[in-house]
Amino acid sequence: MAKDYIRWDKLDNTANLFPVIAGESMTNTYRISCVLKEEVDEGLLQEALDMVLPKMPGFNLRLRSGIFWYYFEENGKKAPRVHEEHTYPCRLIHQSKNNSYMFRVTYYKNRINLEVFHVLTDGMGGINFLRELTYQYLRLAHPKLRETQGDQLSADTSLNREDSFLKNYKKKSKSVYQSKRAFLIKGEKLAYDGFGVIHGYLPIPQLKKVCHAYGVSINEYLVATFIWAAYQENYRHITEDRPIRVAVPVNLRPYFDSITTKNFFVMVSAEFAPQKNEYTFAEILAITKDSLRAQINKEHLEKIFSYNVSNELMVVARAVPLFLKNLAMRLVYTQSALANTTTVTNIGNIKVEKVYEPYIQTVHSFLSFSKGQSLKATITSYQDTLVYTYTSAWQDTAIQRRVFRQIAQDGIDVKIETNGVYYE
Amino acid sequence: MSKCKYCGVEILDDAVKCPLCSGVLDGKKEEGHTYPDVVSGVRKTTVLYRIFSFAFIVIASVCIALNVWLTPTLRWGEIVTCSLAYLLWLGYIILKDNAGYRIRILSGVAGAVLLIILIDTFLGFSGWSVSYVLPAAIILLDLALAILMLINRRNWQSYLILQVAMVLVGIVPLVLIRIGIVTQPLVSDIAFLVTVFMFLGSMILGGRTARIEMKRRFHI
Repeated sequence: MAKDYIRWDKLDNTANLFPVIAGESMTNTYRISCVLKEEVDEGLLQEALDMVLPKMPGFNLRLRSGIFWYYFEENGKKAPRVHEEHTYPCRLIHQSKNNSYMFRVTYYKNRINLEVFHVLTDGMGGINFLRELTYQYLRLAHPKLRETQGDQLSADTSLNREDSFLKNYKKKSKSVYQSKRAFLIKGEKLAYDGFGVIHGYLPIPQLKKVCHAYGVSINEYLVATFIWAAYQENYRHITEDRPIRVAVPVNLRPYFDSITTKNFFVMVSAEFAPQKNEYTFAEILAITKDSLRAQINKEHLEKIFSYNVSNELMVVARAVPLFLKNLAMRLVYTQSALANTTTVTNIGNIKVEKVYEPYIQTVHSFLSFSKGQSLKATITSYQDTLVYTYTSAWQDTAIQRRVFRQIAQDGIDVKIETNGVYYE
Repeated sequence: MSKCKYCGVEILDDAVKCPLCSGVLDGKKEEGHTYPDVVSGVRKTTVLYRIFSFAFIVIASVCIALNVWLTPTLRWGEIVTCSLAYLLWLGYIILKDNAGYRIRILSGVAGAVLLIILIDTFLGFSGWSVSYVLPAAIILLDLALAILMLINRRNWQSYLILQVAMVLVGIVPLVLIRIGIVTQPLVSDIAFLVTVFMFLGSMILGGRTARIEMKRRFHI
């Protein structure tokens, strides 16, 4: 018989949306990969996962559907099976497959991939887990490391699972979301539901120099390269009524002193609505900078999530059966999803303990597609290299071309790597 | 390392053309790929799927045409078409990577019941499908749930919510009796009682574990 008490937990405010909208074409799964300087051994990776998973309560979970809400329940089954990558990345993680875990671990040559269903956690939580998995793998592959480091979790790892949305919610706020439709990229899709990946490797010192000269942050510069590229490629279709809007997730932890491994981010949007015929890259960069800086401040960020949390806390809404909530959430989501042209997310600078650095070559990450957004970008940095990754369902790579040509023109050495779908 | 002189970028892939502009690359190619070749596998599966779909369309069309020409009074062409469609769908559900065993069992049985109701309809609808097959399928599913609870003893309580759903499904034949579609109520009554007793039995025998599970499922 089962034990009486099974640990269970409510979903955080953002996570409530993901199971509702997830499907084969919108998987809400993201991937973070760690590229080692050696080939990955499947057996050792499985052993590492078996050892790490029970220590990470935020990943040892399964998703359940209640009558009114989804919720997490302690999983307790064997860790999911590690296998060599053989499909497109970021495929749907189904509730009842994969031993009911909401993440998968694969490998290919030197690379360890962690794919996470966003309901579990955001990028910070994913990095936490991948870092521990990689540390444990390296300790198993190099017994000398194990002798000195032991098998315990790193002191940098957080196991905190508080709902920081609820904790930091103060008062009800009006919606600050854009609902006006943005310009959406269209085109011919890749054959066989293809999933295109283009990694652009950029040296951070060069990037810093260029950004310093423009007077912007790296994030603002890279978001602006997308807006510039989309504007150049779709000049006639981008108007004041159909602006380019780039959703930029903002990690709220530094603003609200949180170390939660649940989701804790909100979206702001960098908007470019042309009001004259011609724009230079520098002008677009200035518009992007102003748009982002006006929104990324504690007060505004608090307003964004307060609106969401106040909806979740409404007593009448809470008692609505899940299938009706799902219908309403889908409607609201579709409206807000079409209000953005794309998403550019910055996972941040990944730091690993000094002792493991000699074994790790790079870290990169990317996102799956969502409604109206079949092209997305992710920024990940490790040591002196920033990886600007584009995932796309489109055959045409014109936007990526403009982006990387602009970066190269600014004097930055760009190295490109793809997942091969563009050579078919 | 190869370089694209048009884009001004280096290409790390083992490629002859630039993935950004399709220009021919300068310099030495890198060896090996950093991602697996997924496309050829997907291509094979897609071709198989298309062959089956095409075969289905051909067989169904031929059967319906022969039926109309040779024996127009007996609708066997439609029965063959629906049966084939069910088999195709069943194959898809079984082979689909992401479908769990609960979805496979539930949708397999639900599809079979729907097929049998359609066959009954094509044969003039004498009501045997809803009077006997539908409630029998409900009993079968409830027994399957009981077996799954015994097999998966560590997590038996997670099936309680499906038992609640089965009680609700068990009401359907009763409604059909009420509106006069089901004329032989015996099996329908038994099916409803089986679903109710199974649920009550699980709740009473399950004790605290069952109560906590229901509390979780119904939390507001």
